[in-house]
Amino acid sequence: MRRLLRHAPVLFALLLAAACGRDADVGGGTVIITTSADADALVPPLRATVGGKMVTELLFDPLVEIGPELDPIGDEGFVGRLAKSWAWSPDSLVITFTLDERARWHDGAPVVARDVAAGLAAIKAPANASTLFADVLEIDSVHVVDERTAALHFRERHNEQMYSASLVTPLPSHLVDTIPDGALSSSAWAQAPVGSGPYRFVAREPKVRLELAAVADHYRGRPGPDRIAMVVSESPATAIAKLWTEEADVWDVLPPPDVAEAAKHPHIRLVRSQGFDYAFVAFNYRDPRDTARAHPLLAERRLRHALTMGVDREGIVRALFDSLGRPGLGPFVRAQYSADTTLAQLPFDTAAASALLDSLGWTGRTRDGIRTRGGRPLALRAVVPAPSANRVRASVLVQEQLRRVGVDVTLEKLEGGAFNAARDAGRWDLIFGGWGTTPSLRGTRTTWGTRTRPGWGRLNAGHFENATFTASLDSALSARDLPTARGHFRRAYEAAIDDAPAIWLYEPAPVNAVHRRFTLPAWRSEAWWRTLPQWTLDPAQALPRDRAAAGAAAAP
Amino acid sequence: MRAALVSRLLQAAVVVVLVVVAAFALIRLAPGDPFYSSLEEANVAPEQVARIKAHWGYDRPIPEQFARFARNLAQGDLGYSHSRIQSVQEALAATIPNTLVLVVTALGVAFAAGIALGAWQGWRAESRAARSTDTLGTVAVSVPEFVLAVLLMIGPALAWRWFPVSGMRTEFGPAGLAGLADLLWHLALPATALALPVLFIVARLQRNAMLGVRDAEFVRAARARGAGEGRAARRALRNALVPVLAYAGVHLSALVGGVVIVEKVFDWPGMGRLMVAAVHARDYQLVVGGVLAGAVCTVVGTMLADLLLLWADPRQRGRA
Repeated sequence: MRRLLRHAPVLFALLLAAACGRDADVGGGTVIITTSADADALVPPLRATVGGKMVTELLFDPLVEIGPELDPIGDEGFVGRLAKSWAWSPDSLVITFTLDERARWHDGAPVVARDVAAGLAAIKAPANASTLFADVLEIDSVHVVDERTAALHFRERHNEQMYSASLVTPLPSHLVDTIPDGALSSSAWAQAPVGSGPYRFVAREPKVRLELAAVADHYRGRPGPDRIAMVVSESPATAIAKLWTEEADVWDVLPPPDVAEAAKHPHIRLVRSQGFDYAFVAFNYRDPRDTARAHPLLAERRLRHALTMGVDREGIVRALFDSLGRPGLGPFVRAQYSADTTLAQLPFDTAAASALLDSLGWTGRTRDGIRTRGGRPLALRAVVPAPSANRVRASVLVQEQLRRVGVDVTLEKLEGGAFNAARDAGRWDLIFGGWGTTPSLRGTRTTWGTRTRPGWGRLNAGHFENATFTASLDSALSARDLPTARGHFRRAYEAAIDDAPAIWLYEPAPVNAVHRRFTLPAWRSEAWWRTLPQWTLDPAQALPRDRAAAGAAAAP
Repeated sequence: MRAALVSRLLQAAVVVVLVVVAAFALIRLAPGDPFYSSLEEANVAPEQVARIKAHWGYDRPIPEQFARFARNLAQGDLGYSHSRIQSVQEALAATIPNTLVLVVTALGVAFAAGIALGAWQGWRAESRAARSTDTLGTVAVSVPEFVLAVLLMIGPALAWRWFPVSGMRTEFGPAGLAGLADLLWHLALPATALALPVLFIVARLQRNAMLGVRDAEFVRAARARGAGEGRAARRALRNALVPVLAYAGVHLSALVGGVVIVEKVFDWPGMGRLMVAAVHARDYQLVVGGVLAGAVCTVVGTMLADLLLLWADPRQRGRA
């Protein structure tokens, strides 16, 4: 038996070689992406997760795409995809796109202006509950000028109109228009989509694997890798282990301990990128028992300041990420154009925090050292999302640090659905939240904007309201140039830091892992897969699956 | 015999109905819903979620939803899985065979090897080898399945690279006979993780049963009639099989927990993994469909074990 086991890899290699034939010609190779989260949808209007975004962007081309500078203001930072050119109306309320006449759907039909209208309609259809809905609110309609010309009409001007347009992905109207309302997600097309991107759909086993193949005659040129497989592992540890054994080629963001492990595997290349996620502990401004009333404790700004100053964010970042993360600065990430690292922050100062708590009347102590006022202990309830390992670890550290200044924090770990439900119901004092951002700043309206303005503050679960913040954010989002926008953002962020709606905990600096046999172009931090079609394979390092891919690509 | 069978079938039907009703209600009472389950899906307006919930009828009272489910079930429709973007039937059809491959292989190996080992240990109870293997079995049984699974992954898969880390087949691997070899290669570790504890429990049961019958009158009579050691042992084994086969029926349901863990660790695309993901995603229809399929499989498996018991122990037939 031992002898058999010893020779198992050799036997398997022989079987594999027999199955693969003798074709030693290496094409663009096979990229296997290992992940712990399957794509939630295969078509753009239905996707919500990062996995869904990746797959839909490989299958479908947008009209335009933001360039590597990640500047969402105006249109200079954008490159054409299905649209080869565009023109603005004099009042800036209409952008007219001319489609690339070479663009084809994967079934051979040409991409036409009606497809742009179908893309917008799918996002706006209430039955589809598209997560993109809020991002295209200002787009009123699509006017089909002619077969190759589509005009996007906006309700109002803002400085990220082109970014909004980049979220409208044309869909094949000859297939989509026949799908009844509310049946898009269960339609045959949504399960095996015909797209316009550099890769076409081949097969999918939900929650197990997804296979895409290069479109040889794509209008932007043949993509590099011949095949892409996205392989799903429920356990991140198992998914990452596949990298070490060369069963997979790419993992999105490595946890810090695995970054050290990667050094032991010479076939792995580590790529550092800018982070677009940040985490925080938000304070509830409303009473958890009656959200119409102000919070009996946390509505007091000085208490929020004291709690913020009682938390050692630098220490938490070191404990969680070592050098692979940085303390948060505010409701933004450093990769966004509005980022300002010179903003004055509330310092970590337990003496000042204690003095503030004393001044608020929290002078008594229980036997456990928890502060009391009028006999009532200073106790807060925090909800933590169990699926986020980083936030769970951070919550324990925050709990301990606040205990040292006399604050009792009870942690309640909830899994995804329960956490979302608790967050929206407002049944918490503190919440360990986190947002994934984009180059666009318009999402800030939803996450931190005041709820009293229409279309703002839907995800502002703590009911943070600050007139200076709201006005400055509004001005920043309608500023016509970058310096003006940055000035307004600075004022908004200063107001937010002073009001302290949250303790800005950390911003991870992601490290991605890729097999060295691929040569990579410049890494796109916000969406690394956008340059995947430009990856090239070193034939000398090709694996058996790369040779098999070349054979498959050569087959009729 | 027939009356007993009908009675068992009726009991089984009641069990299945109760389990399905409980699963149907409990998953709907848990916080969250199928359209709002992950942290990343937060950017959907509550009014949009409410509209889509109404479209699928999840805004109706639970009894009304159950009545609709029962009507659809009667027509052979188990519903639609929102998290997998496919019908529940398709989801189950894609995963049940994978779990059966894993479980049948693991049980087959565990019972065949466990019965042989236990019978030998019981027949040769005084030998040092029998005592040593019994001690080894105690150690193996005391290691939880998830620890065993992780150890198997760390050693044979990651450190020595004898076996793949996970999955059911090599990505873009071979087809045909080579594909079957590839499947067996992937099956080795998860089946071992599942089989080892069962193997040693079966061996222990078989050993004790064998000890109980090896000096029984019918064995001594066989020896007296000139039967060799091998023949006497075989005769003893048939009688000693009864408690082991009774255990098979009981163990089938207990195995479900182990399958969930092993499938998760080794990414085996089976029912266990499917159900865990479905519960996390609050995929109501898939959870209920999966529970229904699991309950039916368990009931059928238990009944098969009972039939085996009847075959092995004629005394049971009289009681039935």
